[in-house]
Amino acid sequence: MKKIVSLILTAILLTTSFQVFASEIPETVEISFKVGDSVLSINGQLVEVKAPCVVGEGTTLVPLRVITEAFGCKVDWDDATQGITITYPDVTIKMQIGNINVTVNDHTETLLAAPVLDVDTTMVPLRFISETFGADVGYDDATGQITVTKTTTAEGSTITGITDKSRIGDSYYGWSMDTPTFSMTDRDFDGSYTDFSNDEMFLTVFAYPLDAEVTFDSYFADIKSSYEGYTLTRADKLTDEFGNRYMYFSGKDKEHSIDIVSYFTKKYNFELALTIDLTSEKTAEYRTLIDSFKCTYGDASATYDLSNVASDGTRTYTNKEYNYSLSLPATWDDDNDCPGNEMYFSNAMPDNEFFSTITMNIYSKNAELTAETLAKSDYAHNTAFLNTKVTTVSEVQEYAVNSTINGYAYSIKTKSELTRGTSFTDIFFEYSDYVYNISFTLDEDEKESIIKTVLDSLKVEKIDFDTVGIMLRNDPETDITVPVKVGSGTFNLNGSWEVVDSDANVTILMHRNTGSILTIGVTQDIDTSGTTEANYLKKAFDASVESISAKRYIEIVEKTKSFTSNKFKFFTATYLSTESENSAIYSIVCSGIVKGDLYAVSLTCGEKYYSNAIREELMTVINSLSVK
Amino acid sequence: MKKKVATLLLSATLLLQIPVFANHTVTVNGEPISSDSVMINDRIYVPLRAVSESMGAQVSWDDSTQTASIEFDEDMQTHKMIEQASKSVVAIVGNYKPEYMSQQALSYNESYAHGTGVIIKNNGLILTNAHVVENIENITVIFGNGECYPATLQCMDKTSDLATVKINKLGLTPIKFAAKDDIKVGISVVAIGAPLSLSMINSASKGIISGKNVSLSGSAYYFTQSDVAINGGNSGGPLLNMKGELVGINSVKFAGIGIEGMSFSIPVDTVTYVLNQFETNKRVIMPTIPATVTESWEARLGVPTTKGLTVKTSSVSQLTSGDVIIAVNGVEVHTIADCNEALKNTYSGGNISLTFTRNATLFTIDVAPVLK
Repeated sequence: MKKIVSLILTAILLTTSFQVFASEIPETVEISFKVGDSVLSINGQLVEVKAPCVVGEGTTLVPLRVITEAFGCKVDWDDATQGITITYPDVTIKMQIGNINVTVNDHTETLLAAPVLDVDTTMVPLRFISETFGADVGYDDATGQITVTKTTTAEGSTITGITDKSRIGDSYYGWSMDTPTFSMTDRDFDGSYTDFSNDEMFLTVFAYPLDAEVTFDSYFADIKSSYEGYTLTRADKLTDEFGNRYMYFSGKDKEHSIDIVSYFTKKYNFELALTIDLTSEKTAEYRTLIDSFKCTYGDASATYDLSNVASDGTRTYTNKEYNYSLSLPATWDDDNDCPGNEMYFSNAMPDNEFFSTITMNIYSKNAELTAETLAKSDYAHNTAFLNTKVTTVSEVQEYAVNSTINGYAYSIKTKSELTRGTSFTDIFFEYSDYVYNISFTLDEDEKESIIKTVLDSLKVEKIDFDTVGIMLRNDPETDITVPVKVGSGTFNLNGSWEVVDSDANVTILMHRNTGSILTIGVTQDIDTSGTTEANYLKKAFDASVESISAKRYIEIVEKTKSFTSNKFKFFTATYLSTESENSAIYSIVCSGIVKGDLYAVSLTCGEKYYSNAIREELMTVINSLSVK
Repeated sequence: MKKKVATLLLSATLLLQIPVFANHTVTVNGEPISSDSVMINDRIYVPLRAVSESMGAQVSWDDSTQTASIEFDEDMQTHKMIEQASKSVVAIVGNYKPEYMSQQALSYNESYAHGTGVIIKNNGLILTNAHVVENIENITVIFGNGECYPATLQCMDKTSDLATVKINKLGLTPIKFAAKDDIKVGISVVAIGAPLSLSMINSASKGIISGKNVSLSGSAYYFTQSDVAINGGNSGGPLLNMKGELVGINSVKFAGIGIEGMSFSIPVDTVTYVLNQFETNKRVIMPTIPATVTESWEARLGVPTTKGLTVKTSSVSQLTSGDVIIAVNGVEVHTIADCNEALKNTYSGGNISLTFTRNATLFTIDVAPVLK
């Protein structure tokens, strides 16, 4: 499902029409100068202009010419109103000399300082215009240097213009196509997508392992229905020269045509999503390109290899900002959406249902945060609630990360008949002023040797404090009281419980340590006439136990018994659910009547955390109930 | 002869009753109107359009019938405000990272997380709650007209529950920010978002501000309380006044700590503080006092009190257990949120001053804060 959504979203990504600015708009913009300079560096050239100045409370004004030379935008000047209209792809700015109000497209904004006419030079605010045009503005406090940068190509491994070989491809996945004449603008770390575009089209080539649950025909139906709202002109099922089935869709709306081609080979799914502006005159040429796609790498000497997989079957991940690199087996991918100092890598197991993950977190070292103290406190946090029957723990000890780095590590292994096993290894070391925490959470089918592969390849270099600054680990406060009101009662929980959902009668919380779910519900003002409260409670509890345990995957592991909390009687029982083949879940349910209201508190946790400690935590929750 | 002169003199005096301009001002809701008013015979005549428009009414003139029409319709005003503001409101979706999809948590979350965001810069910078984007990958931003854009996470602060993401689109309409003092109890506010599913993108709910500077046990900063309906889907979205200005960012994260019918939003001054920190430091570096404290029981109950905060443990030698802190950087504090707010508003680097009582004596010390 995830793959279809990303496919469709990519295809409909460019929904605004492309404006023809083509050759005049530079892809990369760079302006560099100090206030007062009259020679500025603009896109690599030195240009002489009237010197930029600072007005008001620190707004830098530059001659309009700096903006037009750098960004390639169009400018119109109205003598009568002293109005300036600046046109750039997707944005039009209308300004006026002396006026702090500007119009951007169809809305107004306020400047910190108005444009100024200095004799015959129009001076305009640099930051506002640059940022509106998608550039970043930086100021170096120490040197006074101002830099404006914009790169239209995404970060990562990109090439503008490819090679002089006639074909390009990926030797790891095994695909190739004719070399496009336009730029490759983005490619994912694990090569699962490659983007190409120019100002009138956008092409993405996807490659990912087959999902056993998705059949050719069901996928065909899904893609077809995603074309709803478009005019579908082609929807074919075909077979290629190698015997691979593929589907070819063509559709269009008022502005674009969208083609989706999807190949099902023995190992992989290859997909091409092509979006073309309807005004293009090269539609046939783009379609010929995707027709040249083959599910084979072909002749190595004539094909340019986009793959970053080395001969030992690994890819090297390099993080320039935090100055480290490590190698991962080819099936691993990084995550584009992490904050830089908390990186995350994952590997899907062949059936796509289970994952292994590696995280790399970096924090500033200080008196309270060293490799040893962090290892010990994380150890305490992660082992507090473990079910000792299914977990084996090795305590914090000194650990040789590789031949040059030493640190500390502990591990937790889970093995049981009812729950899929995992092994968790948490490693901590220090380098220069920072503490590094690399952790491996491996599925039972993952080879343990991957830990050595990654750690042996790990290269760490000094982090530039000026670029990165202080990185703090913001663990939520658990030493606080969180009052949770349910009905007319209040449970005073500790901060390790986080509210996930709530309405008037039910509140659901998640335990930060264990991921366990606490459900607290209340039925107010119950009618116990004709019987005692205790009898009513027992009857209601027994009835619910009976109905739940009727399900074939539910087993009662602790029979109903009673206990007292704050002088009120409660009943409790525990079930085991094996509904999920790979994850046994325990539910401890408790019910009691307090001042006329029936409270139902249940704690649901995985087998890994079903322990005396979690039971005690549940009792603490129930004992914290106060009703006015 | 006398009569004639008298009449003549009288008419001359009458003619001298020329209109007097601008020695007086006319204000509507505290704001002076844009055009001059005129005083004739001790009566102030005001220009129709200037006064009506400043009250939010619409004025039109029909030349053929020489009629001026004034239209004031609160519903239309609300409708127009929502229509305009919706241009700046987006839905945010993504799928949960596999490591966060514990079997149990799965049943309470769709495999697609979603919340709301609001555009704060015309080049694609969007503000939302930290909890909306925290554990998801493939973040996608969806506009009310269905346009989708991939987004990258920029900065995040879990303490205030705010985060920024960026899309590659220029020329967007950013939301305008209200001033801190614009948050007044009783004014009408509207929350815009995608409440239960993406088919309800940019649906709106309206209420009033029920309380300001509300502190909730367990949360760092003050909140604005309102009776607008806020839930998982429109969390991260804007709370707007009737001018369409941002007075807060809605967060469902704090809902469980209150009662039904009470919604909490992060006030605009906390939002501005966090955004400034994101711009200079890429994260929020939060100054805290170098001690753990407990609040008085009145403060814990939410009752107004003059009692301070009792020190439990301290990491500086000048403070010991039992001292009662009553002011931070000159600002009186009675709750932990008061402390955080005081530092948020006054800290600009260096040491902080703490005023406390010990054995009925008042002390003021200068100490280094702990930066989190």
